[in-house]
Amino acid sequence: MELIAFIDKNMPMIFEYLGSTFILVVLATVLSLAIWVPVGIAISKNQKWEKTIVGTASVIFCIPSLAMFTILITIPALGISRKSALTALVLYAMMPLVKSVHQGIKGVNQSVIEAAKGMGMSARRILFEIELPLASPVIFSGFRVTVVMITGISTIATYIGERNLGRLISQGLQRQNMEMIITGSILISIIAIILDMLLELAGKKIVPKGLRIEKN
Amino acid sequence: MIEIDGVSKRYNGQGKLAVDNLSIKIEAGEICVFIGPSGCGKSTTLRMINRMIEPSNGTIKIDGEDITKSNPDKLRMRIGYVIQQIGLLPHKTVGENIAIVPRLYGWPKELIEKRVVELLDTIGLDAAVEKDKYPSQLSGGQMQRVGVARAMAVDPSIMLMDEPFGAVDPIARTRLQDEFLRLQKNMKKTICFVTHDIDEAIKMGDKIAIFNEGKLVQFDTPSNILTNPAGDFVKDFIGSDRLAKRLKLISAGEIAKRIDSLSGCEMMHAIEHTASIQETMSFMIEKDAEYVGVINKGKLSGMISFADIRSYMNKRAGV
Repeated sequence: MELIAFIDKNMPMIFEYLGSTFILVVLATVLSLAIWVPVGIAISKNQKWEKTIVGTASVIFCIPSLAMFTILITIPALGISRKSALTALVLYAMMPLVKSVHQGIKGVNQSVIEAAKGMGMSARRILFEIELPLASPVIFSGFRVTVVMITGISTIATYIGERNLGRLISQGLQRQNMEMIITGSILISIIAIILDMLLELAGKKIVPKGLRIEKN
Repeated sequence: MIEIDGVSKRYNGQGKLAVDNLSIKIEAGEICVFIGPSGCGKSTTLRMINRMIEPSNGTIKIDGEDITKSNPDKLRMRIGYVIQQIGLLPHKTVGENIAIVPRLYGWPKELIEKRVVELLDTIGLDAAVEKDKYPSQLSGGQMQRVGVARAMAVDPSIMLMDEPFGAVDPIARTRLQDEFLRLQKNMKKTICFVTHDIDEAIKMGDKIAIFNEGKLVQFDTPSNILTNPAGDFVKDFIGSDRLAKRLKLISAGEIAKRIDSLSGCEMMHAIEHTASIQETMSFMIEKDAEYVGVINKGKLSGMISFADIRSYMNKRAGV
């Protein structure tokens, strides 16, 4: 079949694009976690900023991705580079991450916190030993959504110069080359699905055992 | 001993004081019950003792030391705290829950292990079976017991309990109350116990503090409160069966007339001298007897009749 012939002929290029996709996704994910998880924790503790931050995240999320990339490359500090791509992806990750961290922590049973505080546990201990573990199912599902979203949007970054799987799709459209389009689409979808499945497995390991025990 | 001196609490934006100029002394080794209608300030007062809430005015001293001198977390580590919703950590086992405060103190692992098993036995749970269970696998009564065990982990001399037995059915509650009273006989802890149930207050309290709208209305032993209620609010709060409630507090031995000779009494029904008058009267009605004998240490020591009960209660009845 022509598709297989195409893949066979272009292995090196496909691998280059695969690698590029992975690097972009991993970088964007790590940066997003590092920035937005602390923000999510902060707004759970300080009501004041909650509305502003969640509101900002929602507005950013509504910006169409192509528009976002285009706007960012006009900023002198960023330009047509990986920096713009990463900035866009991290900005999009704000909504799902901040919201899930915030909701996760807010959703923790307050009487557990009350009892822990009354026993003499410090606020720091309560955050790390109780709130975050109990919020982890919600936070982790937000994290999964974020990774899948970043994987998808990373393909759009091809329009600002990234050489990743999105390029197969954009070039394929330009040249009307079906094999390119199909290869690119299937590969990026498979990656997103595999990442999601891996994260589901990881989630089972991370979520505390006590929360998964069935009631008698 | 806990001394609350001139303590008030006003919440932001509220006109009324949640707690109004409260001064009360809670003696060491006693169970002091805080009771009153919703919003009377009993829970607020309790939570000011371990600084979960800070007073607006006044001081609270524990064993002579002002509690604001201690770091709040360290203070709470020294005081047992039990709440109605219990608040067991759902992601930790029963054993790990009980071990929380010992771990904060840095106890060695073996000592913690030993203490966990010891406490589970004390509260009537099979350590081997329950220790590694998660809270979601326990019944309501079991969770409540674990909550109490957790509060006693480092054997604090003071315990604050906010409707600790409120979340279980009446039968389980009675059992928990009885067992806790039995433990207290040996422990002699200083306990502040909040409830809205007057019968629980009478049963559990060495002293009862009645609150209304932030103010302390009466502070006395259950018996004195029943005989001499301070005003209409207390009378209404206790309920119209006030005198009947006293029947549970007085024992047959207190009223029985002593008898020295056994002649003519061999065929009489008899009851233990520690039985309450309520139980005695039920017994007398059941046996259709005008009088029954009273037993002390296996021997007949006295006699009690309906007339004796009537005149004793009447003499002591408050208006």
